[in-house]
Amino acid sequence: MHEVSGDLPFYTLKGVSRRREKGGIIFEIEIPELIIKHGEFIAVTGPSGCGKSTLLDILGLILPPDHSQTFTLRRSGNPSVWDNIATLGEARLAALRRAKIGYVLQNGGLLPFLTVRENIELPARLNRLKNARGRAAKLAEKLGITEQLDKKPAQLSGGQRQRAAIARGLVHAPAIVLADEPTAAVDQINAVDIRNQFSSLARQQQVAVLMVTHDKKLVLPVINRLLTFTIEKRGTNHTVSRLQEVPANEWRPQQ
Amino acid sequence: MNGVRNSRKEGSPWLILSLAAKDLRHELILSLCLVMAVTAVLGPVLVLFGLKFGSVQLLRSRLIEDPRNREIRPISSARYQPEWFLKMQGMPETAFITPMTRQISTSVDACVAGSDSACNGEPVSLDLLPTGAGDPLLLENKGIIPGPDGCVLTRFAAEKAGAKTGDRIRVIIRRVIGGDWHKAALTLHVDAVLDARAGATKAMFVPLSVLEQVESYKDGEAVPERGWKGKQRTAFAEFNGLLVWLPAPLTKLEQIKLRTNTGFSTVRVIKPAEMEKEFGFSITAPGSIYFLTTQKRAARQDNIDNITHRLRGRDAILLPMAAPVSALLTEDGATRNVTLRSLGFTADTAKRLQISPLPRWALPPADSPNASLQAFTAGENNDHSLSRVVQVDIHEKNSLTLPLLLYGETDSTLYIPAELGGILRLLRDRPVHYDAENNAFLLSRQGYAGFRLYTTTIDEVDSLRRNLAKEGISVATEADRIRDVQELNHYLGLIFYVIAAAAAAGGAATLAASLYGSVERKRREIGILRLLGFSRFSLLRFPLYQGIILTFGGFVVASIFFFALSLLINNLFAEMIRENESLCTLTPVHFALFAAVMLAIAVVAALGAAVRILRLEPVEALRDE
Repeated sequence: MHEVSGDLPFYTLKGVSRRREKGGIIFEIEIPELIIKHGEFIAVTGPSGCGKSTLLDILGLILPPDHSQTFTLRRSGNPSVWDNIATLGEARLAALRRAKIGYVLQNGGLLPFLTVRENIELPARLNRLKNARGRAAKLAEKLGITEQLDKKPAQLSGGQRQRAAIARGLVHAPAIVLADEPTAAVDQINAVDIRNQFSSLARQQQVAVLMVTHDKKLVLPVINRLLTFTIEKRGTNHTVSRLQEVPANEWRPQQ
Repeated sequence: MNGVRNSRKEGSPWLILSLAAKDLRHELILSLCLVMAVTAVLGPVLVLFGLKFGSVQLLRSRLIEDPRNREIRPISSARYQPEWFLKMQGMPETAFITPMTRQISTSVDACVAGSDSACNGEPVSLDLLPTGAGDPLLLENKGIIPGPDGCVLTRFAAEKAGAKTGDRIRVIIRRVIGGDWHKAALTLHVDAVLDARAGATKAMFVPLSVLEQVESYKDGEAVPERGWKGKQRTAFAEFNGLLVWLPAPLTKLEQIKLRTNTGFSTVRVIKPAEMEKEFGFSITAPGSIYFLTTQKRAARQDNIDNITHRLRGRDAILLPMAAPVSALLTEDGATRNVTLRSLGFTADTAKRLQISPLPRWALPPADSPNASLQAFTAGENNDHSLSRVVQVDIHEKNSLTLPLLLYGETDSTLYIPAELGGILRLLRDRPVHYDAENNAFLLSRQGYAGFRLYTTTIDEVDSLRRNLAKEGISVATEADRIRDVQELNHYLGLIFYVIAAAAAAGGAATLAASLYGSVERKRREIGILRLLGFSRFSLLRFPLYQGIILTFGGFVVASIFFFALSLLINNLFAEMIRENESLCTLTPVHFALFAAVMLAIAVVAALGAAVRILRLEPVEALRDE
């Protein structure tokens, strides 16, 4: 299981773009290059409407890009093979999603009709992993929500809900967890706590995390890389938002 | 990372079912509302169907299945032979058939009998009708088949006579013979009183044997079983012809006289040389031989007496001739075929006529009471100690079994007295039985004047009527009434099916709308499920399972509703329906059918929601807030 080392890239996007037209206004998101390695903690920041969610949807395989030079995922069973996502059908995409990707949505995105335990176990069950219950219980313990396991999500506080969502995102040991503003709805103390638990669990499991956040300060201490968008106006009705890596020396002043 | 190796399968097959069920449980109140919506549509349809089925069944039982509508009545009286009844009984269309006597024999007076068998009150006139095992008119109208001395009354007969089940009924039979009134009576036990449905006649159902006795009595005959006096119906001999030997020939005129008012129609001169070929023997004594034959009916004793009278003083010897009869002889358990040849002469006569070849048999004393029941074999067997009784079965047009005192070794040809031969000859025309007690041959019943016939179902009435018409038997049936009810049944069914189809469509629409709405409300949850890796197509099962669960729930509640309501309906109409009848009822087959139809409706209804799921993009589900 540990044939993948921390520095090995598994997700490669080059020249990927997605264009959206609404009422004559064209909005385009461009990803010139994004290579994600196992175990990386990446933060994406930028003003609202810059395309952070679109990036998550593309990476989450639920929004196909219009163009892509390279859009590949390394196959887990056979690391020398890269799957070209653009050529895969709905069933294969669903299979990749359920095996390789975890999600932590803004408000948790827990299913309201399942208990917290059932929610956390669901990706493990979906992947037919052994000991789904044990995996869920272990994660819940590490996240301090063991008492909440048999409650419905509606009975949980915002922080508990996010912790449950993190547990659900990690339970099936995906390659990457896509997190959409997981700490936006919780107070500062909770946010720091959640950030620490999330990053330490991800590192332990060698799971890459790509977290969209507006709170740059909160994530700086735990991230490996920082991405942002630069907005370019091409005429009055055409906006291009391009993903760009912020060099480490710019956001890590003390080093 | 692990897990991908199993990526082809999306968890256990029950995962989506359990999610669908948990979702329904999560929104319990809403789910119950949907169940109620299904119930609201299905419940009335079930009751409607129950009412249709129950009421039509009721109609069927009251009108269609009423035995009276399955009855086939002969229009005119005829003579039906026992074989005909056996044939009719064997037909699959026939549920029940019993012979019936002449109409005139069935009218009797009856009254409730007191302890001394005398009448309590005024006798009333009733019609006797024969019945027997399996009579549907009795069995389907709360009656039972009466025992040998029992009877079953129609409601009207019972009211008229003031009789009830358990009473004893005195039946009085009258006849007029030679201007004199005769009266006989018998007492029967009332085994049952029929429902009014059995008919508005004053009828008394009795075993066929009782009716036969009554008819015999009315015909002036004796009925020894009941101790009723009258004449005996003794069997008589019949002959193919009469051989006449005269010492002197007859003139032409005398020959004509022999066939004038004697019953004989031809007189043939027989040449002695040609006799053996025709009769098996020849008369060698000098004289003239004539053979007298009749035209239509066989010659009987009175015809022979006429000739005796005409030939008085001419020293004529008359030999009645009956054709040989084949028979089955049973002796010590072994059977063999024999020919019974009748001989119209005694040993003395044979000697006088110089019969050739002379069968060498011996005769017992002529005055023996068993004179007619003996047989001899040819040969020198004067030893009477060899005589023994054997059983002989004769199968002519009618059958007869009788004992015979047999003299001599058993041979293939047995000689029997002419009188016995004549009686066996009668079997070709009439049924005869041997009354051992009185050592007499008695004429049996010559068939029956009518019948009571019921078909298995009403659908066979018409085909059986046509078959009988082919046999030349015209019958009356309730064909028109049957057709009316069958049509009513058909149209009622049609109307109910139209209503039910409309209701089913409504139910499907309700369910489809509910499921579609529920998918619409759960777009986000379904989007999350997609995000977690459920494929678009596997999630189609989500609304499908929910539809099936909701429909099944609705079905169960509707069934409970149905049972409660059918109980109520049947109680409300308890006055009008009989004990085992139900105005609102369904069979398990109906429920299974309903469940299947509802399942189909659930699937169809879920299709709409499924189409919505196929179109649903997880992106729009997640980002619409």
